Amino acid sequence: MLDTIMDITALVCVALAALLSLAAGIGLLRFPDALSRLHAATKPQIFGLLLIIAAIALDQRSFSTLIALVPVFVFQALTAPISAHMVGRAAYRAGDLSEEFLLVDELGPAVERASSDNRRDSGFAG
Amino acid sequence: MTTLENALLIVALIAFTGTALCALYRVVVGPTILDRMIASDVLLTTIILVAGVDMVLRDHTDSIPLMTVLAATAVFATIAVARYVSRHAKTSEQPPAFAWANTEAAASGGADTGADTGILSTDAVDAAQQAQGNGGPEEDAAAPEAEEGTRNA
Repeated sequence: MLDTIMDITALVCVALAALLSLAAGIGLLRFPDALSRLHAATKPQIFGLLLIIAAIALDQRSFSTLIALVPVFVFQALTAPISAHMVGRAAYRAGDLSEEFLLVDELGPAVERASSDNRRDSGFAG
Repeated sequence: MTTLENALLIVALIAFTGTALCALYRVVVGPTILDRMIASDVLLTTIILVAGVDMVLRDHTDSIPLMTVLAATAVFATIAVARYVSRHAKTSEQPPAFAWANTEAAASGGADTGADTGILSTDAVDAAQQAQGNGGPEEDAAAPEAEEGTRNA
C-alpha cells in the first residue's frame, strides 16, 4: 500500500514537472521579448528539477541515491540564477526589451550613470 | 492504478516533447542571439528532467552523474554568450566618445601638419621625389600633401 502511494506520488511529481516545463516552452514560444521569455524559461529550472529529484527519491527509496541527487540540485540552484542574471543584464543593455510593457524602469538611471562615468573616465584617460 | 500511471506518463512525455519542440523552434527562429541562448537553456533543462524521468521509469540510477555534470556546466555557455552580447552593446554605446576623440585628434593633427609643412618643406619635397621615384600606393597618397607643402613654401 505504501509502495503504491509512493509510486503514484512519484508519477504525479513527474507529471507536474512536465506541465511546468511545458508552460516554460509555451511561454518561450508566445512571449514577445527576451526578458519575458527569460521569465518563463527560468521557472522549471529549479522547481521542475526539485520535483524530478523528489520523484527519483520516491521511486528508489534509498538514502544513498538521495545523497547523490543533492549535488544536482545544489549546482542547478547555484548556476541558474547566475545565468539568468547575465542574460537579463545583457538583454537590457542591448536594448532587447519592449518599452511599452515596462511599468517601472529602476535600472535605467543606474545604467546611464555607469555609462556616463565610463565615458568621462575614458575621456580623461585619452 | 496502472491506467492512472499510464495516463500520467503519457501526459508527462507529451509535455516534455512539446517543451523540447517549442525550445527548438525558438532556437531556430529566435530573432536575437539571447533568445536562442534562453531557448537552448530550456532545452538543456528539459534534457536534465527527461534523464531523471528515465531513471524513474526504468528503475536505475545510471544518469545521476549526467544530471550533475549538466546542471553544473550549463551556465558556461550562457555566461559566454551574455558577456559577448553586453560587450557588443557597450562598444555600440561607445561611438560618441570615440567619434569625439577622433575629431579632436584629427583637428589637432591637421594643425600640426599645417605648422610642419612650413618648417619641414624640404622633407616634404624629398618625400615627393621619393614617391615619384618609387611609385608605391601609400607614397602616391602622400604626394599631394607634399606638393601642397612645396607650394606653400
